[in-house]
Amino acid sequence: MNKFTNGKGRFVAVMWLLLAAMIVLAVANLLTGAVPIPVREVLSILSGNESENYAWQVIVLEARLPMICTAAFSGAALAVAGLLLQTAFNNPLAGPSILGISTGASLGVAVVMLSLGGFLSTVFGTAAGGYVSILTGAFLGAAVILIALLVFSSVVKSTTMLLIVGIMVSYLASSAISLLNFFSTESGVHSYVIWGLGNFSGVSSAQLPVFIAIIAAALVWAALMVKPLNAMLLGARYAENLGVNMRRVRNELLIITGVLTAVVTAFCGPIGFIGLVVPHIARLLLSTSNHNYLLPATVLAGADIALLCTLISVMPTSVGMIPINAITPVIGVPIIIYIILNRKKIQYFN
Amino acid sequence: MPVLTTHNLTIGYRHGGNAEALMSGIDVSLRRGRLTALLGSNGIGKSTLLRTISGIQPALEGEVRIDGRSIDTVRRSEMSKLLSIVFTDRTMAGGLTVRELVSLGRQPHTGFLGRLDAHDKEVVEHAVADVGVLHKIDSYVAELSDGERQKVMIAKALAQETPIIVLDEPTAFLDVASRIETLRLLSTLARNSGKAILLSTHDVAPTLLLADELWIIGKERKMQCGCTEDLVLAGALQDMFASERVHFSMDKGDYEVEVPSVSTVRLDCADPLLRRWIVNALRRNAIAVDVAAGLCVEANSAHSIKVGGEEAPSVEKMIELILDK
Repeated sequence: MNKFTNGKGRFVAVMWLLLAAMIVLAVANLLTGAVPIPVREVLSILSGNESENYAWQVIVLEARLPMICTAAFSGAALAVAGLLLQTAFNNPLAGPSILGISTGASLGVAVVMLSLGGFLSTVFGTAAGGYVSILTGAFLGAAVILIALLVFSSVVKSTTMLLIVGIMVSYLASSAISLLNFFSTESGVHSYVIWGLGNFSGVSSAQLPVFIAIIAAALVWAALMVKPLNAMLLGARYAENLGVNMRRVRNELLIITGVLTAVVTAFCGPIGFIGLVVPHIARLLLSTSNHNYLLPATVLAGADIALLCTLISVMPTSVGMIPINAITPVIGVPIIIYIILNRKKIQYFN
Repeated sequence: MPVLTTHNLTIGYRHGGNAEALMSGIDVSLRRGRLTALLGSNGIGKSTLLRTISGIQPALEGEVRIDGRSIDTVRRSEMSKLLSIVFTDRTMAGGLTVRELVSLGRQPHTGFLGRLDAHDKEVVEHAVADVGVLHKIDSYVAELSDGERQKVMIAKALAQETPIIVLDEPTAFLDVASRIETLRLLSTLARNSGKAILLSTHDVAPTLLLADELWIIGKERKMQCGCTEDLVLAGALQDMFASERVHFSMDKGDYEVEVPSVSTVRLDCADPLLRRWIVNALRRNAIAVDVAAGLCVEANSAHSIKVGGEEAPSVEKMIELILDK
């Protein structure tokens, strides 16, 4: 058998491919934007030299570089959250947005943003206090949905039914958001709507270390769950018989997903489709369900897809940046439809 | 010395404060090196019993002991080294190779990250070879037939290296050849590896040929257990189904449907095999064989059967002739 058809050889090849794509996309993002900056200048600024054009230096170091890091880490975070949920719920169509975790985080953000009115839109990115309260709101909102899912999961045994409960809970959260919007000031609604379009440029270089640290910690925690995740492919009973404490593992997985989703949602808005689609991209590329290979590939593929969406969003247009949430479905929906149409031929569905 | 025993066990479900018992007073035991088969009609509680014995579902009363210890006191990690299961649960394992799936059976023996050492890998290959799918070890589980998948799940249980293996209907969904092959495999494994293997099944005939011991749940929800032949001879299988029309034939070692006969013939046939199948055809058409009957059927071969002097070239024609008269 060709060593690239499956197993370790294929994994190594795919990882190099994803890494190369990430570098290409990151460089493309550095060079693309509303303000054209010569390649040589960008490289010179990155290598620490002062540019003769101070604006260029600010754009590269304070706008483009943080945005690339934010996009890469957000993509990885959402993709891993999707992978964990798909395995935990034994359902290939689970994802942070479908289960309502993103909506919960959005509700938390809406409560904070709309109760502060338009105040936030003026201090967006400058006042640390605004961000801390938005982050807390997102955490609390995601936690409420997660706790609801946990409570239901002890009553509702079927994972498909639980998925539907998640969708229903997410509708409730959406209706609460609509109500909040209805009673809010115009500028509050405006800043909430803008936030809801999705945007990887909202994390300043000062906030970036916190953003990266939280996501990295949750990703490491996820990497430590690979053994029980693989056992869970056989279903809860087999996993339990293999020594997995299912209750604890499921709770840990929901906490990790909650943290990953809340952080990204607080800073970048509710980004759809990445969590749902990227685990499938990783599975199709590797042609395996083995989390030893799947998790690292999902991290890189998530970063790649988010960088690709960012690149499309910063393409120079007459109206400025295109919202991320206008792009993710265009990439995500065809992939999901391809997967649904071909599920009989795809190993991991059978 | 049995490896697993139950003591005054009551199985069933708990809904809030109410307990719904399916069966109580169960005292059975499993022995090493034996294949034990659990027989009983649908819905009587076979799966519940297997889940309770495996520690997946709590007992309502009484206890299950492994090596003399109540399983309530055995930690989950320890339990995974004592008893492995093969159930009919739907898995999401199609995207794993046979080797990867069977390696999951090593999880109780590996460390926090689940890395396999040389010994683990050897155990996995051995388990795959034992169930006879070594030639497919690097194939995806999705590419296997149902029979092969069942074998791979058995290999997973073997890789777990537990003294007890519990299988819930391992032959369901399999074709006849795979059913018998799977049962034979389990019988060989029990004998060669000294494991206690317990399975539930509906395939009575092959089970009676291969199982060393039986646990039979009668229609009154009473459990009988013992050596296969002792139970058969004591008539334990007659008692299994509530139906009046179905009864166990000691002679054939399987259940048959009783068809009340409406007419009789005299059968003259020297070849026992030919006689057996002619009787089969007669019975199905509600015709009994009686030495005192007026109509005589004389069979020399499958192509030469005389019905009251008239020649029939086949059993089909024979039946037509008898029904005409």
